[in-house]
Amino acid sequence: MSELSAAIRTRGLRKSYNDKPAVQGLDLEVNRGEFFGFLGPNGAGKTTTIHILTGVITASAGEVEVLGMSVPDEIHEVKQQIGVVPDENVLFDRLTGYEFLEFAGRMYGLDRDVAAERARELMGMFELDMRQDTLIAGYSKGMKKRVALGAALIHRPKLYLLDEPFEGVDPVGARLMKTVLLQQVEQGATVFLTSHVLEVVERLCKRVAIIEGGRIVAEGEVSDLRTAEETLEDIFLRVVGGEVETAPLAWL
Amino acid sequence: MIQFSQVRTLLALQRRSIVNGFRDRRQRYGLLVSLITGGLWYGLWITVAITCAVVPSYIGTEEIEYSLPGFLLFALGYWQLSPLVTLSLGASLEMRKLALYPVSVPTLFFVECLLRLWTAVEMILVLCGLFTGIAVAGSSSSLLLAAGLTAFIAFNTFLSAGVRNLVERVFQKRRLRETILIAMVTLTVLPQALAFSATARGWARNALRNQLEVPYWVTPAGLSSRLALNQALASDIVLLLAMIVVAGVFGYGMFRASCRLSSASTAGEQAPKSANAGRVRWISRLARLAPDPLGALIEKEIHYLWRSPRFRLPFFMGFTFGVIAWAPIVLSVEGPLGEWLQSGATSFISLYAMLLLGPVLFLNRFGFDRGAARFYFWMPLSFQQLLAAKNVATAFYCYAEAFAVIAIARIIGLPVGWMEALETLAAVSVALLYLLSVGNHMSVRFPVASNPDRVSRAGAGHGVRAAAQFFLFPLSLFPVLSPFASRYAGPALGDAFWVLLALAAAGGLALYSLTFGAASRYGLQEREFLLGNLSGGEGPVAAE
Repeated sequence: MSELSAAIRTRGLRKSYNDKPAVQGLDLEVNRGEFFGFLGPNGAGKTTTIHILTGVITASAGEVEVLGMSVPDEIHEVKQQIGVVPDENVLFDRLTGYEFLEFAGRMYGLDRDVAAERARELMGMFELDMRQDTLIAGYSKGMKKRVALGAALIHRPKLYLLDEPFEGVDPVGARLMKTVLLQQVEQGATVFLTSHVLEVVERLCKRVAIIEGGRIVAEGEVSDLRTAEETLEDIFLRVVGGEVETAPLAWL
Repeated sequence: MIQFSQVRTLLALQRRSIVNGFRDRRQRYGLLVSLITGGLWYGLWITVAITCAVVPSYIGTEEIEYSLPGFLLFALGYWQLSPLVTLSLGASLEMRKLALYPVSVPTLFFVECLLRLWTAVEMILVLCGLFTGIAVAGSSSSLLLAAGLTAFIAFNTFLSAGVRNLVERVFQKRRLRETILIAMVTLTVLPQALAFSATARGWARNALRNQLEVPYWVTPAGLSSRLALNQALASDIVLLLAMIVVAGVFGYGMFRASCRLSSASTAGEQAPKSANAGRVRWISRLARLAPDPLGALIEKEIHYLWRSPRFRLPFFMGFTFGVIAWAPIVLSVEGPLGEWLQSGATSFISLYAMLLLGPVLFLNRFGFDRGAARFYFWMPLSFQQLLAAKNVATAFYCYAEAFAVIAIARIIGLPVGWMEALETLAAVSVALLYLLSVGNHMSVRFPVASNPDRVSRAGAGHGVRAAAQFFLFPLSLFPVLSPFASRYAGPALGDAFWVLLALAAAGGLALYSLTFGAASRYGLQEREFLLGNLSGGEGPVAAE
């Protein structure tokens, strides 16, 4: 593994479900220490790409390197150095937030006491310490997202793969999460973020790629893509064809 | 009011959900096995129904009049108690999903009654056969027979709806649930439990004898029988209708209360701080014996299961209901068979308890993880470690169950010494090897999302899992039971008990070693299928 290698590199990545392509020849390169935005409409292939990068699913074809290591060949080593926040709630809802964080820490190989201490501190940092003994089943969506980010942070990974991390989070929580992530990037970590909130992406990310139909349709530095006339949202709508006029329904 | 258009929509939606579920090749294979196992099961009951239809023609009207109330009483007992004993309360409505739509409670209750009828379809087949036979024999008019049968089915349907929802509701209330359930099952078997002492046994015998002399009008079975056989007075009919109304009010009341509770769900449920802290320390110390991530996984599994009503119900039933229901049988048999039953009682009860725990602890081990199972695959751990942790947690609870069975058996006076206790633990250990071998494969090949709050088991859902649960699973206990059988065969073979058990253990160990690796490989290889199934939703009716 080279320290100079890209955080993420894919070449000709493909994934099909029952002969239906989800990702079609994806070439992607994310530099280390970068806050990278991965945008696309629903069903474009964002989550599938994250699942391939994390080893949850196997690509049908193509090459994947994460932190200089080959996926899936070195997936075990990769997993130890990445933190993931999924799009859906995938927390074990019969554990308390604290128990889940401690569990996640130990799964990443932290010593039990260290995991417990970090779990306590993360609960405090994400303002969840008042709900320390509440089962995750009783958390709001935003609280679950904070716990999920806590679980991604607990082992101080080099790369964060975040799938819609701010969805359902209130502005206070979102600000807190953004601050933490920006600090991580300042300290050399890489963030790979998908979000539909383009303002957030515009503010946080240095570089973005827009995926549509499993292919990259635009890529570059946010400052280069954006012009005086076009915001990131305008560009997004233009490249994914979202400006199509729809005929109004007579009954609606 | 009941909106029949909505009932039709719900049924059509469920049908569509089932049909869509068979799009996958593996699910279609499951359908085939479902059809075969279903054919065997219902074929058996249709045979019984045909037998019941033939018998009335060979016995006189007098004999029919004498035996029909008793037969209906047995049917009532089977209908109401068998779902509790087997913990298979049948399909139920997904209230959390349906609560979003403007569907009235009476409409939902109507669907609930249809589900209860479907759950008891084998008993309905038998009753239809019997009543048809009585009509053919000319012992009563078809109209009255139909009226009596309809009344009996209506009463049972309403009562079973009430009982089912009561059990569900009780188990969604913290603290009360275990206590109330134990009280319920204990009350159910109290007459048998009283048969322990000689005095109580005599009393119970008298009670049983007197029960036969109980006036017909006390039970709906007696009243339905009289209505069907043209013996009912007007007052009998009024009383029968009143009973049906009371059962209906009970069923509807319990169902409505369940609807309210479902919308509350488990939101905000707190892990009891003090008790939990104690348990955490105790389990944590135990789990420290294994290094992380195995230790962390074991700890998580043990906590997770304990917090699931769906697990706790069979776990508690194993050493309460199991012991109390089996004990009178064991104690009432005399001679060599009685001695044999007594010496192996705690082993048999522990194995029965393991079968009760089968769907939760063995056959669908990823069910409670649901969508969260994805978490395992981005953690740096191997599938073998994950499966091993789940197996260790399963073993932990099976041994806990066995210890509880031994303790309760001793408390109520079953002859349990050190040797019997040792045999029980040995039998559980060997049974674990076989059941885990079957369970690991079923868990990775036929996973299904399971609701940890839903206490009932709605049949086994997938055909292959159903076949495993009802045929393969009990059959896999054969090597464990054969040493006990040898003991019954005679002293010479009885001496070979430990040898046979050791052979069974060796076979089990070999089987477990082979299947564990294969199941781990399959789980990892087919993880997309596993995750897809665990994240999948259901139709308006839950049949997990």
